[in-house]
Amino acid sequence: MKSQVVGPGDVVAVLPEQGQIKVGAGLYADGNCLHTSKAGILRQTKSGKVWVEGRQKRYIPSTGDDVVGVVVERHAENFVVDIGAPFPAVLNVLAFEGATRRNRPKLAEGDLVYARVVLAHRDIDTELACVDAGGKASGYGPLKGGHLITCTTALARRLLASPTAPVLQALGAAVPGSSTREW
Amino acid sequence: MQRDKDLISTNEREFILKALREELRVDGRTPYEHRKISFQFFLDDSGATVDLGQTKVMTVITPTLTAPFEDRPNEGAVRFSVEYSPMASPSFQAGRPGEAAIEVTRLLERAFRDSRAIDQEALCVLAGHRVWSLSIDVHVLDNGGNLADACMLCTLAALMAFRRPNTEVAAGGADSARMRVTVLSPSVREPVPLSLHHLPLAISFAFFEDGDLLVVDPDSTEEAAAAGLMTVVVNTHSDICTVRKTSGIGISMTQVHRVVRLATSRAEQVMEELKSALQRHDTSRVAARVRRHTRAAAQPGIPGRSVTFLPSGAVTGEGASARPGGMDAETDHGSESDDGSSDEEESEAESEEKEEEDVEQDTIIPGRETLKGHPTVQAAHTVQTADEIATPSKPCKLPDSQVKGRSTMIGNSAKGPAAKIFGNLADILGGEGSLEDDLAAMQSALKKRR
Repeated sequence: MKSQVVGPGDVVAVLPEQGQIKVGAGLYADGNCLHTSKAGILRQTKSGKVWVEGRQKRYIPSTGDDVVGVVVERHAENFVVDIGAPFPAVLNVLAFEGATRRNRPKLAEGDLVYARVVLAHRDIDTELACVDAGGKASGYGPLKGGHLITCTTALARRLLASPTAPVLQALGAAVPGSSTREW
Repeated sequence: MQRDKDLISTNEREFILKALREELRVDGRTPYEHRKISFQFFLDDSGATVDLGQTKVMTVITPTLTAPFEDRPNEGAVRFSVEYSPMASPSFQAGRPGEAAIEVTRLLERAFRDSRAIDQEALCVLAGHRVWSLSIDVHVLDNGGNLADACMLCTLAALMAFRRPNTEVAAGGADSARMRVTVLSPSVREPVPLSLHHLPLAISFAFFEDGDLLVVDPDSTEEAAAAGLMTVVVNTHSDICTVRKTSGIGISMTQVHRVVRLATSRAEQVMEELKSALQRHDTSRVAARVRRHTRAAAQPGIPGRSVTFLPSGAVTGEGASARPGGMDAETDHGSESDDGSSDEEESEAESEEKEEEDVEQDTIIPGRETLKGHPTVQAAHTVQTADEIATPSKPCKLPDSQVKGRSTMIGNSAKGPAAKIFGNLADILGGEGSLEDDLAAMQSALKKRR
């Protein structure tokens, strides 16, 4: 993983003729060039993911993130969850392990839930799920007790980074979310 | 996304309560502790910014020369407006002030105007013709909870630091309407501070569960988790100026007494912090003036400036005696004369870089603005001309909002007697006592007043 400091409007790379590249936050393709749209550090993985990490306070959802949210509304088909993003996310009642039409998860307004972002697009509602790809809970679901801490995206990233942050080791049970909320 | 400011997760609510039962707070304070307060004063004495923990509030005071209300010919006008900016919190909306903002505006009006904290008669320049009207704009820049306290404290700090331009009334013979009012630039004559009768300070409390648990200076999560909120405004003489309890659970009489006692002791501490901040500001103000005067003397013959060179000690003495109370005159004088020589050297070095700034100041605030009272007082006409003429003294002025402010003022002042001071706290409470003592003392105090 290499890093490079970039500003908005920088040309980062020329898109290759073939092959795949996964473009994350802070980057956009214009013609056959990849530009940055904000200032920060350009990050890249070997598998071809590229994104820009900046000092941004507002969390922008992206697919695959683990987030902590507050249930704001309950509907017949889904819950509306505030994950600290500009818009609320939707959590389907069936997106829990073992949930059926008869056996719904019991969540009230104000409850905390730990979930995974399964769909993130700027023009449609963000979708959450409390199951992993295999349909297992694997840690996701409602959070009981404890306290919620709001932080910046930069701190959230550092808490999530490996090796595990010392403060989390000291706390014992803690669930860091990619969004600006840590339980 | 519009967020409800009272919506926090049940986990947080329970955590705050559980910690409070053990006399702990989430941010590490004890229940009766304030967050850190810091003050910043504008260089031109027109306002102040106060930080109360994460909460940040700015107050700007704009003086304008206007015609007085016809029923109060020798009283100046004071108008308050509170703006909750959407950048302070996602729960604030732009546009018309919300319920919470209006509530705080009313609190300010009750605390400063209705309790007669501001001497409105001292704002009179020429009775029946020209008075200063102050428009006090409070902007909430960041919401970390307890906005009422922050707005009150910031407004008080701004009022104490505020200096209005000095005026000169030239005699116009026997007819007072022919007298001329001249607004003098700060470089010609030292601006004057406001006269404040007493200094009201708001202390807010949050109640939890059934009102048994209480904390001072709640932050935004504590406000959301609280069962009730209450604000007590007390002044330095321990008088209760006003009390606000608009929603939430009811609280017992004992709790009210406890809250008032707590507020009095808290207010003293906050007032000390404010006074020391003001003193530091005064010192820097005097230092800046010394620099200005020495520079003016170095370049004689600048039009519009009839300033004679005074040694720094003399300038300081004059400035200090112009301050209210004059109690810090001696300390200031001493500190200034100590480093007076170093100041002069500094001023030489800084004179070049200051030059540009000073020239700018001259263009914004003209040396002399001449006003003339109209022989016939036609309300609308006079207001308009007053606005036009008085505008140069302070550039930012919205005529529309001012006219609106005036009409509300008339409505309020017509509502009968405004002063509501409920008596001396020491008479009512008699220090630390039981509820029975408190009640007995209160009744005797009431009897005494009758």
